[in-house]
Amino acid sequence: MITLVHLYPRELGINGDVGNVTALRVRAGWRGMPLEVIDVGAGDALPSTAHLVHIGSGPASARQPLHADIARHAKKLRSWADAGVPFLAIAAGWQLLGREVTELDGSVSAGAGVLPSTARVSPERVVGEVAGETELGEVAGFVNFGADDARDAGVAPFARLASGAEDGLIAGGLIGTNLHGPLLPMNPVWADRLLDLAAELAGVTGHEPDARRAEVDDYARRSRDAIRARLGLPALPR
Amino acid sequence: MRTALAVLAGRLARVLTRLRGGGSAFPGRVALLIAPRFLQRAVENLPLGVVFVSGSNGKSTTTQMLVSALRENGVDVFTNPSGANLPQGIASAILATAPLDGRLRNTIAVLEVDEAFGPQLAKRLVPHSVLLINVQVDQLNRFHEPDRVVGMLESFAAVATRHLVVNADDHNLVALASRLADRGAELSAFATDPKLLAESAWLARGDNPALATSQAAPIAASTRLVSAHDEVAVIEVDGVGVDVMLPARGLHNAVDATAAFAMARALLGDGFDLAAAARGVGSMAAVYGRGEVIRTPAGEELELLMMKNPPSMQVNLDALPEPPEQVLVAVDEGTPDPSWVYGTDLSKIRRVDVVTGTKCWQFATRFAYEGVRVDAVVPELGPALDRFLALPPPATGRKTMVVNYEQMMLIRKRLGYRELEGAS
Repeated sequence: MITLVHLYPRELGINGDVGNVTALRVRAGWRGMPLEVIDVGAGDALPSTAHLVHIGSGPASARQPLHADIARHAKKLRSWADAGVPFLAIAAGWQLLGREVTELDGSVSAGAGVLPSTARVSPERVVGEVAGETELGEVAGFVNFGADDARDAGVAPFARLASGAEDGLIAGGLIGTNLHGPLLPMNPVWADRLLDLAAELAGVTGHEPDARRAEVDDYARRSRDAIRARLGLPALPR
Repeated sequence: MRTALAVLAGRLARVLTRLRGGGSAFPGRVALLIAPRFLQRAVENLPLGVVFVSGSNGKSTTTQMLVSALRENGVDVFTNPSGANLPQGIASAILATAPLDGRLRNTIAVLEVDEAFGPQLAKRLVPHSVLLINVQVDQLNRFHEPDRVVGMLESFAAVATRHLVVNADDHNLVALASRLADRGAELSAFATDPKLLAESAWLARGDNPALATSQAAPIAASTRLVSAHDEVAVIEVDGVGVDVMLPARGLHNAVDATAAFAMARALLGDGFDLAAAARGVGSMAAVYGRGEVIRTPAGEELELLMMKNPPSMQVNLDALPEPPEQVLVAVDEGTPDPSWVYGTDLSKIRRVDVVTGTKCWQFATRFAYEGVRVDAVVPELGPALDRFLALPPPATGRKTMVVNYEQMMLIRKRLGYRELEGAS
């Protein structure tokens, strides 16, 4: 059984990042891999083990009260990351799992220290569709954030965007990113990468995927293509 | 003189845009260009002044309910048509009724105002009373942080000197009201029965943990929604209950009616006639595009469910008595990031006949993950609509369209509905 921990699904759950969890759950099912999702809200306890951790995004006002809560879990989350558990952290969730966040007023909130980065909240907002390249090929999505995220030295970005900007970070199985869409339904190659990492940790093997996977992946590719067209980028090969 | 010129030019613009079948904001823009104080002047002499209605969702419905309740109570009300909630839209509405001196002759103006434009509108129109319905997840690409929306509402709620009416179930609004407690306006509140509230999706609730930026001591509500079933709500004002026929089904419409009653009660004081208010709301037609049923040229019924933002889509789906037989979904760039639809409970949708709009592939992806069968994905609206309308008539006699605002407008146009929202 793959255990997927979804941190703060309600508190950081207004922008549909739960779709990442949906994609992982459904795709695991299509491959016959048993997977359970454990929701961990503010005040809840973490389970004893996890094979994959997801945390979504939300406004700064939703993130700020969670710093005190995540501090309770920081040690265990770091031990999971050290043991190779993959993490997918989106926007405010990424900030919360980083080392620290400098708020607009200059005050500093400590993060969980799972992801090798720091964030500085910025009054400037970056909003819009994006497309770019990752180590698994092209990705597309939507960003809507107001922070300067700084990766630690030597840490690679998750994506190099067509605009020239870099998004997020990747360090082994740890991913922090500002991409919505949500990321995994829109870019299923990354859903399968995370699922494979988690399955290996859990000792779970799957079978050949259901035909539905090819259909949904075609829809996702066309979604990315539509975004690329709106950004004036060349169409993807069929 | 300047005002008369503004009125004449605005009226001319109105005739021209109507001939063209165009937008409703242009005449107001013309009038405001010629007479920058056009809005101030229009409302200056209203005996009962100006009332604002705002919030993330339900502005148009609540405003029209408040207007209906007041009119049935014998008050001569000026209002802006649904959605015409920016300065130019309000100016256009004034042009449609004010004489050459530009001064409204009604008793009171009840205006729906956009959250972001509320502060500047308040400077010009000086509302003595403000009704705030909710702060919900809305257009994060535009508003970014709910704190900003709270700040906008607060800045014009602070202008009120007579009545501030808020939703007692909305943590942000309760906190806002407590911050404005000593500003001179009398505070009153409306509330929904906790059992009903518990049935509502957390996304649409005022205790939403992702949005409630502050905690405040609860406030008592003298206007309460006691029950809501199909299109009938029971609302209690000062302990006296009344049945209210809603213009469209759904808990959100019942809450909007409760909000409207609370403000009507505050404005009219002891003169408020509850039965008359219920009659007023009971005689309303559905508000433009909100749970509205329109007809095709062939006489088929089309139910429009708007998906402006996550709470509005969820409450519209939740209000469906059963899964719709035939469904068209149409979403375009008016919804720049539809990611949030993964947080929506789609269990009311069992099948989708056609998905269209520039975001069609993202919606097809979403439905595929839900295991909902999608018959056709047709990016262009024309062929998509043709295909949908050509389907054999459903047993219920009604087809359902889940649409964003922009697609709704295009669909109406294609079906021969010339009138635009905001055109009075």
